[in-house]
Formats: sequence, structure tokens, C-alpha cells
Amino acid sequence: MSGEPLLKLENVTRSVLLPDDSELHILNGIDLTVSEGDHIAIVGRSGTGKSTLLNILGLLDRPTNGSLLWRGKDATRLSAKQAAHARGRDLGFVFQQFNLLPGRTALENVMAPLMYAGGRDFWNRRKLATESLERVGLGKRLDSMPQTLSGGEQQRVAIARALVRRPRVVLADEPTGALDVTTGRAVMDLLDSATVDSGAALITITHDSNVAALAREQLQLDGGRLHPLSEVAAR
Amino acid sequence: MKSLTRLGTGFVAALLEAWQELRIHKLRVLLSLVGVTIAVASLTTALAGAGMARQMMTESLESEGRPAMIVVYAYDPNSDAGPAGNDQIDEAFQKTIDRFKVEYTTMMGRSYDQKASAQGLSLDAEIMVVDPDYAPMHRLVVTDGRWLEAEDAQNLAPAAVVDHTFIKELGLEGQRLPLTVDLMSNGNTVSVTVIGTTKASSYGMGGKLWMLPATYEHWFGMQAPLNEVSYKLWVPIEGSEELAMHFGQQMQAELPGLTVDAHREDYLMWGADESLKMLTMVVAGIAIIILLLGSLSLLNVAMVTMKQRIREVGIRRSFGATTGRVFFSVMMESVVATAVAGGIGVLISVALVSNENLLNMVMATELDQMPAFPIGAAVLGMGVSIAVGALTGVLPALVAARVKIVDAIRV
Ligand SMILES: Nc1ncnc2c1ncn2[C@@H]1O[C@H](COP(=O)(O)OP(=O)(O)O)[C@@H](O)[C@H]1O
Ligand SMILES: [Mg+2]
Repeated sequence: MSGEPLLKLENVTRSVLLPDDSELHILNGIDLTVSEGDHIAIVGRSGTGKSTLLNILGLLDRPTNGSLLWRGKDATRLSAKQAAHARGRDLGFVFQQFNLLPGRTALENVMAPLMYAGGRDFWNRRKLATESLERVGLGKRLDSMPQTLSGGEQQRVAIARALVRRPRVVLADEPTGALDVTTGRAVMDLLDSATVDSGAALITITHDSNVAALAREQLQLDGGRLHPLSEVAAR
Repeated sequence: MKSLTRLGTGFVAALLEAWQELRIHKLRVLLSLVGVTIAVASLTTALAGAGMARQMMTESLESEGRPAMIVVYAYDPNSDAGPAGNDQIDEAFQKTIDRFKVEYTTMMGRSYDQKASAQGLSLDAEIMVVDPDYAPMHRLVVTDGRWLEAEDAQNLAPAAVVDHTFIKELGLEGQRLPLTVDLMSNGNTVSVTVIGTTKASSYGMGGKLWMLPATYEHWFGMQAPLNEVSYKLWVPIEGSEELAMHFGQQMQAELPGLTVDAHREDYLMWGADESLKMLTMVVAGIAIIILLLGSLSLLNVAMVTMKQRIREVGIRRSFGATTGRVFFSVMMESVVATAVAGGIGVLISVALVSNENLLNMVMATELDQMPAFPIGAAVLGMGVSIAVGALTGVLPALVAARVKIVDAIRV
């Protein structure tokens, strides 16, 4: 394990131009370091910019200002293509709405990321995807369509899909947001153990403090900045 | 090397993705593809049919002489008799030929007074007195036996080649060559050896029989002088009219007292026949309109499903799809679809055109030989399908490639 952090954000800001030409400052100076194996929870009220931050961490969006290092390299300088390859190789996403591809079976959904891998991963995609689904306990539902699966099962398919290329970082945006408490708990346990097994860093966004409590490091997004959770509580 | 394999797997993967997407929208895609299939089938059929008709027409027209053919004859302006032959004219012709160095030439003598008979059957034969070059000059193909050679003039029995009608009328079908038939004129009977046969000619009623001038002269010349004699030259089309004029003048100089006529006479003399081309173009034009309508409905399906697709593209981008790849996959959907539809269309066309009964009905004749399906028409049909697919695919592909990931996946 190298000492180099996977992601390093310094004073990252993000603002968007609203239709009335005024600027909306969503993030006002984020400092964050993510190293291999980290489990970080980010909590915050709705609309505080959690998803915006996650998109920047996942190389889906770019900061307006500040520095973002991806494995030691200036991520703002990555070309769209390089960013796409980095996402495919090293990043996995789990979304609140599961975001499974409609009309495709569970297996096809999990194979989908392998369609962008080269060589062995591509040719072995069926085997790899099957194994990944077995690991989340869905080995018997390979050919099920998303709409025939329960919410918890759909999210497990999404987790299998996020992990199938063995990413270094898994980014989960309110993964339990659409699930009941018990199912959500089970899904979180699964995400937690699966990333511990693979050694991937896990960043979970949530507004549920119980979910956040699972992570070793808890941060709160407030006013466009990150604060340690305890500090906020003390304020 | 690594980037090359990457490109390879990328290509395969894009095709697979395209196929999956088509599978999901089966019914809608299928409906819009019916139009493409019909259009490609009619386009291919029109082109194949025209190609085959042209080939058959050319074959039949060329049996009258391949372009450019110059016909030469000499006659006595003070007599009512048609152009006749004699040694003097023949000599003048040979002399002029040598001067102009024409490679392919033949005499064209005809005799209508002969009756052919064998096994008690008989027919009025059309006797053609020609040189060996006659066959290549008229695309005459011997289907059985062989064509006449200069040496045949020395044979002890007169050698001849006959057409299939001749054989059929005399009830000699299926018999092995050489065959013997009797030719009668003015009470004189000569046995002729048939050394080769050709297929039935597409025009003319009776059977035809070809023999060399020397043969005719030796066996029949006395009793039945030829009814008419002319000569033919096969020359390059370029400059053939001028050549005919100069040739006529030179030969005229050799034959004082006679009038020599030399002019071009072949089916391309007045330029190519454009009627077939027009018909082909009209059918092809209609087919292309159907094709555009079919592809328009394909485009419609693609655009209607685009809203859902945008989210899907965003999801795919999140796990590593590049914009190039998204563009290619979406475009391939349409290409794969039209290629399959067009392939089916081409197969339908081949089945239609290769159907013997149907073809005989359309052409209103019995063809002795099925013309082959022109490969060019099939290739063109496939090419057009793929091109239309690519064209219809560009718009949705552009929309898909411009999707902003963050907007697409925002809940
Ligand atoms: N592209 C954008 N244009 C306009 N407003 C945006 C855009 N992206 C995010 N926002 C706004 O920024 C705020 C933060 O959004 P988001 O990151 O989705 O919050 P969260 O995930 O914490 O609920 C919201 O008020 C949202 O409406
Ligand atoms: Mg959010």
C-alpha cells in the first residue's frame, strides 16, 4: 500500500450559474484526503451540496476552483477520456435510485462496466459478473429484470456492479435513501464488508446518522465546507 | 498493441451494446425495419433485374454483331440483283483488308434455297456462309462439338455447325456428334457433317447452319449460287465511322463499274438504349424513398427513446464509457438494425430473382439459361442499408454523446 492518497482536495469550490445570471456557491472550500481503505461518511441536510461533492470526487464533475489530486495527479487536467478510463478502472458508484439499466437483467447490469474494460476483464465478463452477484447474495437472481427485484435487491445489484472491476474508491450517494430501515442497514453492512474485503476506500453520503455511525470517519457538510461531526455537534 | 486490442474489444463491446438496446425495443425497431427490408429488397431486385435484363439483351443484340461492326458489299448499279459475290469482289475485299490491317473479318453469304433432311424429317434451313472469325464477332458459343476452322475447308465431307433449332426440327436431339444431315437444292443432295451445335438463336424461325465459304463454293456453288453476299469487319468503336468511309473508298477503287457500300451496322450505332436505364432509375428512386421513410421511422424510435436513454448514457458514463464510445454504440444500433434488415431484403431479392418460374413469367419467354444473380446488386443493397443506418444513427448518437453526466444522473 503506497502512502500516496487516492484523492486529495484542497480548498475546492463549486459554484453554478443560475438562469437569472446570479451565482450559486454550493461548495466554498473543501479540504479532504481519501486514502486506501478509508471509510468516510459525509452527512448533511438536503441541498447542502453532498451530491455535488461526490460528483467531484468521482471525476464526474470538475471543481470551479481549488486543487483536486487524483492519485497524485492534477485531476482538473485529465482529459474527458482519461477521466472516463479512471472512472471505469478505479471508481465505483452506488446511487440512491439504484440507477440500474432498465430492460437488462441483473447479470447484464453487472456486466455493463466490463464492456468498457479491455482484454481479459471484457472476455471474462460473464464469469466476473456472476461472481460479483454471488458475493452480494444474488447468485440465484442472475436473469431477473430490475423491476422484478425488491429495492434492497436492486441496490445489491448496483453494489455488485460498482465492485465488479475492483475499484479503489467506492462512492455511495445516499445508498439507503430509498430503502426501509432494516433493508438499508443490511445494504450498508454489505457495502461496508465488501469494501473491507477488497480494500477499497468507501465514501458514503447520507442524512442518516445511524448509517454514518458505521464509518470510521464522519464529516458533516455545512455551509459549503466539511467539518468533523463531533465539532459540529459541539457547536 | 495494447491500444489496438482495446480498440478491438471496444468494437465488439459496442456491437453487443447496440444489439442489447435493439433487443429491448424489439417491437418498435421491428416495425420501422419492415420498411427498410422492403425498400432494400425492391432496390436490389430492381438493380439485379435490370442487370440481368441488360446482360440478356446485350447477348441477343450481340448475336447480330458486336460493336463496332462494319458491313461492306458491292453491287452492279445497273442491275436489279442484290449484292452478289464473285472472285473479283472477294479479291478486292482481301486486298483492302490487308491495307487497313483489320484483325477480325468475315464473309457473310446467305442461301435460302436449301432443304435439310435427316431420318425422314426436313426443314428449310438458313445457310450462313462465314469465315472462322464469325463466331467471336457475333459472340456465338458452341455448346457441343466445336466451331469451324480454316482447315475444315479441306475435309473430304463438308463440315458445318448448326443451331439447336436445327437439331430439334430434324429430331436429332440427344445424338452424339458428328452427325450427318442431307442438304438439297435444285435436285442436288449433299451429305454434310455436323461438327458443332450452338444454342437456339433468339430470333429467326428456322434452323441455322454455318459453313466455310470454300466448303460452300466446292459443294454447292454451281447448283445454288449464294442469294446475297456481304462482308463484315469488327473494329474498335472509336473512329469506326471514318474507317468505314475510307475502307469503302479504297475498295471502290479496286472495283470500277461496281458500287461499294461500307457502313457501320450494330446496335450501338445510335448510342446505347436508355429505356432500361430509365426504368431502373425509377424503381431505384422509389425504393430509395421507401428506404428514407423506413429510416425516418427508425430515427423516430431512436429520438422517442432518447429521454430514457439520456439517463442510461449518464449511468454508463459513470462507469467508464467515453463520449466516443457512447457515440459509436448509439450509431451502431442503427447500423446493426439496418444491416440486418437490409440483409433480409437482399435475401428476399435473391430468392425472387433466382426463381425460374417467376423470371420466365416476368420476361415472358422460356429462358434456356438462368442468368446469374448479379453480385454487384447484392453488395450495393447491403452497402445502402449500412449507409442509411449510419446516416440515421448520427443524430441520436450526437445527442447521446453530448449528454452531461451530472445532469443525466441527478435524481
Ligand atoms: N447544475 C446546477 N444548476 C443549478 N443548481 C444546482 C446545480 N447543481 C446543484 N444545484 C443546486 O445546488 C444545491 C446542492 O445540490 P446537491 O449537491 O444535489 O445537494 P444534496 O445532494 O446535498 O442534496 C441544490 O440546491 C441544487 O439545487
Ligand atoms: Mg443528493
